[in-house]
Amino acid sequence: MPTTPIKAGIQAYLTGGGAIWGKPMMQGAVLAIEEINERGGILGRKIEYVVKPETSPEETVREYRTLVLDEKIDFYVGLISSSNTPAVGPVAEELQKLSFFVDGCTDFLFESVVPDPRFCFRITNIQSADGISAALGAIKLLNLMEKDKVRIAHIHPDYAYGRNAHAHMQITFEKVLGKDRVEVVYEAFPGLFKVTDFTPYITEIIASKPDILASSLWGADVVNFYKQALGYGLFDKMKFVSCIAHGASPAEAVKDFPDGHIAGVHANYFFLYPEWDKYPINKAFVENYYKRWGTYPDSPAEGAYVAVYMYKTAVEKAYEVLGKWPEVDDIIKMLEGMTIYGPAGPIHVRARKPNKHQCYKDGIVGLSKYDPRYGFSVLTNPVVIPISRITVPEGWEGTPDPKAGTLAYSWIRETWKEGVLPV
Amino acid sequence: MIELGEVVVRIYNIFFGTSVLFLIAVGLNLIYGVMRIVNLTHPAFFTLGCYTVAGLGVGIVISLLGTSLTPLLIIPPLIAALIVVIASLIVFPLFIYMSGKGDEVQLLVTYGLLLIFEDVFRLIWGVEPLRASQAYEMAGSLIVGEYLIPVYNIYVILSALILVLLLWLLLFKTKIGILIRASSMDIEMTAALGADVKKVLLVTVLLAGFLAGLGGGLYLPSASVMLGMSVELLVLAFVVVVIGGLGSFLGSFVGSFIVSVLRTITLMLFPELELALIYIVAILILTFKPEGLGGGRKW
Repeated sequence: MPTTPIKAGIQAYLTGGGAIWGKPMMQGAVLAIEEINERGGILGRKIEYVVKPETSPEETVREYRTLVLDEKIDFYVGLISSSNTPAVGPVAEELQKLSFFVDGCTDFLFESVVPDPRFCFRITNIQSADGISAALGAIKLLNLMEKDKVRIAHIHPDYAYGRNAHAHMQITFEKVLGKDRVEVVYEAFPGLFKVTDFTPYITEIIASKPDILASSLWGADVVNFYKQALGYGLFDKMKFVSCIAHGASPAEAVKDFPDGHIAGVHANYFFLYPEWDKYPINKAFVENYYKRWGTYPDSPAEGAYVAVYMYKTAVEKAYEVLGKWPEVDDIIKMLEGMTIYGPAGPIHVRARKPNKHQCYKDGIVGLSKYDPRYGFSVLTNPVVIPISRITVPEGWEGTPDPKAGTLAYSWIRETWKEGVLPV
Repeated sequence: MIELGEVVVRIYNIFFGTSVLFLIAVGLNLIYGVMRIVNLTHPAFFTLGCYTVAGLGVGIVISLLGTSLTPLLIIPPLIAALIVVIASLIVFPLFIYMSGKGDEVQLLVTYGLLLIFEDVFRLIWGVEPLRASQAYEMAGSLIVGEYLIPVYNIYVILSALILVLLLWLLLFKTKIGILIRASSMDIEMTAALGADVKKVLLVTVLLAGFLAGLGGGLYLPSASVMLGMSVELLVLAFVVVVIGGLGSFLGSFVGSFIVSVLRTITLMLFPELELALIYIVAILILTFKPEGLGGGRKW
């Protein structure tokens, strides 16, 4: 058995607008590494780590190669952007390096870019689950099934993520409520982090008189939007349905957010759930994270933390079988089809196509409410969205929808019954 | 069918947008006018103004004077302006160094400075978007028909108007203003006539910094500030300057107004085209009227 340290490579946004997700991601990974080292490492081997920045796809790939070829890492944890996972994925396969993508959730990664991966895995729920969960949460929590007609306005950031959220929220509303009952009254796609003055959008949204405003704005965009929208009284006139606004840095991004609107968390994780008394893994994670970093964990922090533990679990299981330190192929064999318990609940690694090596866990949606104990808006009235009901199952043999580009879209269109709530 | 309230709110948004863009563009034009430096660092000064209010100014005011509206409206933007003036003073020697050097030197140095500022923001204030919207919230909203409009934005519009007036008085009615304008027309002749040109340059850089800092300070309560904002503002500021005309006082206003009107119209009629339309107009103006719509480079 080797006793030398294992080396982990961490790659995260540390500057620019993505840092609001990158920093907690790095902190989640580092916390897991420190916890493991404190308890003696993995089979007696300590973990060392190197951090490299995530930036544009070309730069990110270059830094990834540096981690693998120069730093000689044993495994990799990183990536937030959906532009970067399709760039790094093929390189991970080429260099044969075990890689856990924390986010970068685009459906394209495992549906078309790397349809039969060996070395790369992805922790976060697949992107389409984001829009679908938020729409289903809105239908349940706002009792939309009882309405004759629902007027919907959309505002999403103008890039792959926003377009994906828009398509999957819309098809979910149309299928579940029935096409005739859904009317789209306004759609806008401001550039990601390119707009700070949202007032013209806000005015047009109010003028179009929607019942709900569906949105995937995140980071500074959602902060600017809701702040300005408060001054224009937008939240008194409609319900805001966000698939992601409560997903990042709960303590920073959503202070003074209006109560009673749909709080989405990127279909992943909010630190209060599963309830701490019922689920001690989450309680321990939140407490340790707070002790280490002075803030509450969010979905990228939880994802990175899970990735490191997933590696540890797979190595230890392979050791139980082999009686020696496992090769990468042994670790991969253990990962495929594995379920482990992370802070957000059980998480399952898919072993077969479509979306092989994608991880799945139940999503969560709730209502926003200011909580004086924390001093910011939290997710209340949680509705758990069982992931198996909203995502393309193993072995489904459809083709991606040509317009939305995803299997999930075709799967909903072809298999969901109109007018029936699937969860 | 368009209601009256809607029209009023849209016009109000246009004035607000114009005010904010003007406060960014005017300093850029001022420096280009006098020094012939396309100052890519300028938007970082606006961003610094935002950060100063969110991360320092509002905290100071609240701890000294409590959370009351009037001091929150007035003091934080002035603190921001002061900090940005100090920052401008620190980088001023670089401007003297660049003055008269080739475009490539100016571009590298000013863009490099912008990136350095962004990293300084990260070191001091971290990666989260920062806000300090107490003034925006306390000022409340006015009812216009079926609509609400935030009172704070009126304050920004009025402040911008007052600044335009003061700037005009400074440039046209004071000796230093006349020297600034003279330098913008012919700096060698101004020097030959015995003016202390270095002092004029210093005043110009500090004045541009003051306006950017004040602008950022006024804007911040209605929004938030985040890393990367300088780069985004740079693009927008350039579109404004291209439409209005580089180095022109009036052009700063004309460019800001046109960009704001275009935004409102596209978002009303075809929201998908927002940025595209603004760039198309900028390209058309560069092609057919490269000096811009602001009446050319004069003050």
